[in-house]
Amino acid sequence: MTSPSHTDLREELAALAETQPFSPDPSAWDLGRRARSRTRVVRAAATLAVVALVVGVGAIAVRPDSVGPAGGIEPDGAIPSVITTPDGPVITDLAIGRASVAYVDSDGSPVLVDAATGKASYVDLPSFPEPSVIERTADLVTGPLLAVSPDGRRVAYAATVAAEGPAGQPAFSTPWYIVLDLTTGDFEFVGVPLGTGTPRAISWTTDGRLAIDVYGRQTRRDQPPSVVARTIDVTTGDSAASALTGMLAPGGLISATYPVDDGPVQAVPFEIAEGDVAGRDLPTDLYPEGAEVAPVGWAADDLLVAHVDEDLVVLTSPDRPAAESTWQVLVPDLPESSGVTVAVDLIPDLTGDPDQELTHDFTATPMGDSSGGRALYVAGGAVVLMAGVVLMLRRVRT
Amino acid sequence: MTTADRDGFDEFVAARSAALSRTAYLLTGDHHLAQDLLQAALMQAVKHWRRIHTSPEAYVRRAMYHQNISWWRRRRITETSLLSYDGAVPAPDTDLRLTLDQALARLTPKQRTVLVLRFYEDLTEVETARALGLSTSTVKSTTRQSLARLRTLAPELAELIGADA
Repeated sequence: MTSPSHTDLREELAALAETQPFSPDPSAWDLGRRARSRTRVVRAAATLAVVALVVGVGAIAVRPDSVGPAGGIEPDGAIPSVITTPDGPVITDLAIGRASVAYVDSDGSPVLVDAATGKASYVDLPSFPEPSVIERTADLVTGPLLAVSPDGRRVAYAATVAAEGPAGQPAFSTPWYIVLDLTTGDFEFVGVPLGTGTPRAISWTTDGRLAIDVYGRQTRRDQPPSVVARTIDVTTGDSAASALTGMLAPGGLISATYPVDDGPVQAVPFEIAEGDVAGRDLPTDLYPEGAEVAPVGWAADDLLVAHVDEDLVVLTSPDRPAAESTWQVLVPDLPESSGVTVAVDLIPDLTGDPDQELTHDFTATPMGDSSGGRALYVAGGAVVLMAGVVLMLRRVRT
Repeated sequence: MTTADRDGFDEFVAARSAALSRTAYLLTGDHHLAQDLLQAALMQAVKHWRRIHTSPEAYVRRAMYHQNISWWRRRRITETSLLSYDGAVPAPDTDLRLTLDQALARLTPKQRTVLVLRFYEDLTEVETARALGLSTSTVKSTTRQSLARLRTLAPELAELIGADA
């Protein structure tokens, strides 16, 4: 099979390989050590779980209930009533459990809010775009750069990097998306759909896919290409065209579109069929001059969370009758950011009670849950960890 | 792990990263992906350093081969999906190396990895099969298919590749 010309192929491959610039990353050791430490901590925790199962469940069963979150909010966390700016160190161990809010601050640094404590922290996300890259992509991007999943357990973002354009001008490219599991700190690479580049916006659908807006094929030189939407299955990497751009509602029959221009609008924009738009008028008493609007997530089939001027607002979509319309401020006075997303599953179902609390004041009462629920979680966790111990012991024996 | 472990790792990275990054580039065809691939393999090496420190390069190379195929599986670039792209690569540039680079980019990850191991790393068919966890016959057939596809994609590479593969 081999012929003398394969020597030439070898030489050409070697020459091609020489074009790769040599730039060792000094962080490999530290990153590897952290990953190793996490593994060892999990193993140690498995051992402790055996003891915890015996001692902990009994103690929990007789312990009185602590003060629960406002409004019977999910036991694993809540949207904080105040979203603060980070004031602590950058978090490098990303196994924080759940995040209630994710945003990128005005300096281009990613921030996560812990769903259980309400504390905002800068996070060291792997391959997150550098601030200079974020600046380069500012004219392209219309939606969030960092998207937290509806359940708060994952975040996703485009791993956009600086590149050089054809004539040497500054450019950028996105080789893949990263989906990071906040319960383990592990992350996965998800390929960009063929024929697509850096996304204009990224969000999660309520069934756990990524929804991206990207530029389509350019058909005329004098006009920018149209914006098209795709969804990506983060488990398989499969992608599919989506009829609607923007943030897809459950069921995919309506979407909340991202702002095209900076500046106030008089209505929250939606897309109800391909190219067919609708609007939900802003309350003129609250916003007489209009407001800047960006979608944040869908809390229910017909309930959108949106960033309206400085506030997070819950509002009904325009396909609902006017008599059922809702406009409720969820969190006022957000920090300045280039796009915020929230774990919408942490927003309780609306009861219609105007006094219903949708967020939790972490400065007033600690998060808690019922003792029975907690015992169930502890027991379930311990069983899982004990299974880990068994597997570990088997591994040691072999 | 001790300071000696860290020193040993640093020495290994300083001595071998250039060669490893060249292989990573041939495997991925992209400078950024190559750096990510090498970084991921080095992180794996750190986790098992005590066990592999006497011969880390073989471990890191193997990690890169497997990680590369795994990543691209995730990207769903399958052999089937490439069939529709089997028209010849347009040759806007007479530079043979550029043509080779473009043609390699259109191979499947498995085909590309097998070619790199066989013709850049100079592994035998048996060694390649062992490194990738494949049978020798699969390595043989994949090599044959890869070279044939290169010729289809870029006829001007025929002289480089040979006609008998």
